[in-house]
Amino acid sequence: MKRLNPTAPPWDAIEAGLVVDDLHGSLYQNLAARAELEPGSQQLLAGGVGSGKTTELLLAVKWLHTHGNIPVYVDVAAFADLSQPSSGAVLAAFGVRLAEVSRMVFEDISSSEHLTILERTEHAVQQFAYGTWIPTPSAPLKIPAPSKGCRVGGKLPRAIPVLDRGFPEVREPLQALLKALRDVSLDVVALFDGLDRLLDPGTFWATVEADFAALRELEVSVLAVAPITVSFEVGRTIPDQFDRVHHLVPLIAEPEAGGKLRSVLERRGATDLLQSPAADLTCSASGGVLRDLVSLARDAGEEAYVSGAERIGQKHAEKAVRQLGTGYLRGLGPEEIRALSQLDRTGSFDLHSVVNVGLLATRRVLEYSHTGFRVHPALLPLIREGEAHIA
Amino acid sequence: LEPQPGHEIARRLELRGSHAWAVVLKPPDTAVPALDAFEDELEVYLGGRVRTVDASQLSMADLREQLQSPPDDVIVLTGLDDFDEDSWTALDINRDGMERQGTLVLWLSSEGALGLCRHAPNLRSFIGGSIFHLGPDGGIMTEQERQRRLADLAAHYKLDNEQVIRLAEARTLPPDPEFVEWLVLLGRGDLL
Repeated sequence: MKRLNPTAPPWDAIEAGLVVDDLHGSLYQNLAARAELEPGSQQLLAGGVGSGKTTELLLAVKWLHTHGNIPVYVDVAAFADLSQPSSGAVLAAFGVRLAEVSRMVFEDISSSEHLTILERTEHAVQQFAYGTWIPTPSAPLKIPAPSKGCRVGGKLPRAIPVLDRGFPEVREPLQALLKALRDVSLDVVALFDGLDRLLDPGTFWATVEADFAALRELEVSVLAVAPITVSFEVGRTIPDQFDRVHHLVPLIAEPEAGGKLRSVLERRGATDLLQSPAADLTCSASGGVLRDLVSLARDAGEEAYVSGAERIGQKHAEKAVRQLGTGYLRGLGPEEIRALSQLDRTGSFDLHSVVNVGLLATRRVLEYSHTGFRVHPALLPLIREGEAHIA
Repeated sequence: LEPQPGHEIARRLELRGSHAWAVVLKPPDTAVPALDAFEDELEVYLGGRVRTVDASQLSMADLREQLQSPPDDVIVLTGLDDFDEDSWTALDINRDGMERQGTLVLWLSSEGALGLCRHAPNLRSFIGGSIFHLGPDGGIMTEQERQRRLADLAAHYKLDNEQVIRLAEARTLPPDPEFVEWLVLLGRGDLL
């Protein structure tokens, strides 16, 4: 049961062998290979909450590491309070993390010249990020991923510098450090997680645009997650600076999706516990949202355990689906329920509607293509019940 | 949602192990005694101290620090019921700063849960279907539940009830919360 934990850190799940790494084709390999081959390229990975973006990013980290690059993975939302205006936070978090990773590299090759460059950069980026110089302890990780901001020194204040004044301060030290790394044949790729929390596209762009421009100037390849709303923003196109924007859709859209979703359950040992109809229901009711899939399997298992059953049956899975659906139903207003009913009845879903974009961002509606939308299957029966009750 | 007794919610959280998240909807009229009783259940099932963190007056940075100091105990997060849209949105954006190894329970009224589900999709995704309605009769176990729990403890520790009593009488029983629970379930709290 402990392998069915939808909130365990994805890196732990990868290391424990619980992740099926080809769920989205070879997406992470494609993203990573392009980042490696085209220094300074910028790629976005957009998708809904719980769709597996972080896992793809971390698989890319592993790929880059095994191919001799330095992947600098930064969970920006763990470094900085992104609910505040945060232009500069992305660059600051990158600088702090790059210095941390570089220390591991240079200590291994015992180069005093490189260590001097590193210390100068550390000083500059710490000033830039925090306004004070915090001596960096020995790097806490032996692998270049992943790190939460709070691991550095333990109690860092949030990083909210302002790029307008700050970037020149760190440009030269960062350039020098990157050159030192390239001198020993190591290319740096920055992977930014946590930015998908910024559901408002305007806030997302305001947070990343200047920082990503600075990283392009530094010729650092960027892979970054983005909120689903970026893909469906009406009246604005994604800036040209992004070489590729990949949208991670729920798996059910693909022909072999049923098998892929089952493989996720198998990898986590759930199919040993779930009777086949219960496994089928769990897969279909998840809508292909990976976190929901694992949640449903775990919740059905708990239902079976609490009721003293030996195996997880249909009724346990049904109860878990209803619980999840109730969670999606909670908080919906009449206008949203009308929009969901309309989508169910007519298939029509207007992306110009603020209500509809909200339903998409909160996963009550799932996108299987740019024009194919459905009500989340765990929520749908409750919407239909409500309609029947009103009728 | 059917109300569930506190010990059943605690057992579910015990099954989950680390990084567990849940919302517990408090009974409308008896919030403070219900919270105390529920935290007692969590202590028994999850072991160790349960920390209550009141989020109502904390800045985001302070809340993050409290949740990580330490990161592996059990926390019941209170004070969220009066959060407005902006507060929920800020908490939602900062979900990564709330991730922790220990169990995190959000103690909410029904209205508070509405705010979370409406304005915090990233938090809601972590919670999934784990919104439990705490029943007013939280602490009472049925005989069947008592027997099942005793069987779970016996299977886990590879001891039977009589052995546990003998060890307690000899004062050689480890001071783990599970053994305290075991003796209480056997009606031998006098040996504690």
